[in-house]
Amino acid sequence: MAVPPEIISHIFSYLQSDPIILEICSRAHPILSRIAEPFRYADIVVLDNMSDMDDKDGRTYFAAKLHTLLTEHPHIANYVRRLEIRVSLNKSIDGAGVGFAPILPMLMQLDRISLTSEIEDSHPIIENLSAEFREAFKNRLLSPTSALNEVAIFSNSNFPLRIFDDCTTVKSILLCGSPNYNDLVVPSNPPILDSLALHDWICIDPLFLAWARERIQSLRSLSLHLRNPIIVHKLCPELFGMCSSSLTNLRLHIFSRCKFRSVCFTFATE
Amino acid sequence: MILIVQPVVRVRSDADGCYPEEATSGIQVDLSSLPHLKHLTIRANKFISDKGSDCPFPAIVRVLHSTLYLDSLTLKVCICYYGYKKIHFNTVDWSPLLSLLSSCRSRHIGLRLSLNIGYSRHVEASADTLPRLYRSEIVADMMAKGILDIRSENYSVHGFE
Repeated sequence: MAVPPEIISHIFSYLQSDPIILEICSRAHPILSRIAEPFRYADIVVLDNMSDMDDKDGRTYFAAKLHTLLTEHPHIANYVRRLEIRVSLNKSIDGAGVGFAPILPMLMQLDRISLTSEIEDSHPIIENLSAEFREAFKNRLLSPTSALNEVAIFSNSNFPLRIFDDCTTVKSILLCGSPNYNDLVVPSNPPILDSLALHDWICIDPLFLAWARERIQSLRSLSLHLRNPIIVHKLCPELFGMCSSSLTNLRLHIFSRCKFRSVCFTFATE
Repeated sequence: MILIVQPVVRVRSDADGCYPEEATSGIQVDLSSLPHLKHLTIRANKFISDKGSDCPFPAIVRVLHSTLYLDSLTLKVCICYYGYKKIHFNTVDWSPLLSLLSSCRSRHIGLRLSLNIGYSRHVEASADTLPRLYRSEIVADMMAKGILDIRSENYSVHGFE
């Protein structure tokens, strides 16, 4: 091939957001396929095996298919940097997420992991996930040899906040849905966060504030996406006070839907 | 008997309103305690129906009044129409926001607009769909100075981006 692989690789790096085009390029020649691999698999989505969704967008895989791919081509696991786990909310599936469990230990180069549901605006209920998956997910977060930096959890509350106690590599956390504070003990040397995002919290517990106080003194980025104005009133001054000397980046979602008004004109007689 | 047409304005919360009116109308986020804040992104939804509309701009204005100097301010406004009539997004009154932006202490302001009909249909924000905004003198002046840029984006009312 006349063009140096470094040049092709550089060109492919711009196509990372278009996995279908990358896939088409990969089919053109085996060398192109190898060069494209780091970009094709850098950011992927994995679905429950029984999911009704399709996997035709070039970056989405059913859990079983991804497991087979990684088993047959183990080097591909090193290319996966961002993983989104979409849990099926189909009630007929017992122990959602079973298929994800064997995949997670293979992906040691992950930079970001997110747990979402396959239906927008609905979040997985942690208790409904299989014990195998929950254990694998926890182990993946706690692995000291990983490069995991960013974790995003979209759950219907009850995600155990204590799971982050021993995450030494994680610097950025997004929590959608209020977490579970049970058994929360603030460790003596908690990891310090660079970035925190709180979305759709329905309540604020003093335990959370204690948890945050130990972790966000050096916070640089904060994102608040809270529908309940009472929580906004309560939480903002507390959080801003904790990170006032470091915070440079703030994202606020101001909801006004709850005061959506209508105006009626009527006639009065005199 | 003399019939006098006297409009009586009744203001009510939509059925979606699950919070007390006092709480929702007075959202105040004070950013004055964040002296190092450089980049601020505010996202808001504006809903329009055949009966009326809700306006997030006063709340945004209140937040911006409490900021110090910013390197960049990004306003992401998702305008969503629910109704059966022919929609005119141009009914949105931008003047409260624009007058504030013109005096805003930010080196750069990005206005990101997402126009939606219902949950799914996206309409491109442009001088055709929002002439009151795009053809305003304040906007033209700020864009000419390189302070303001406006872009059309596509995101959902509820989505996180």
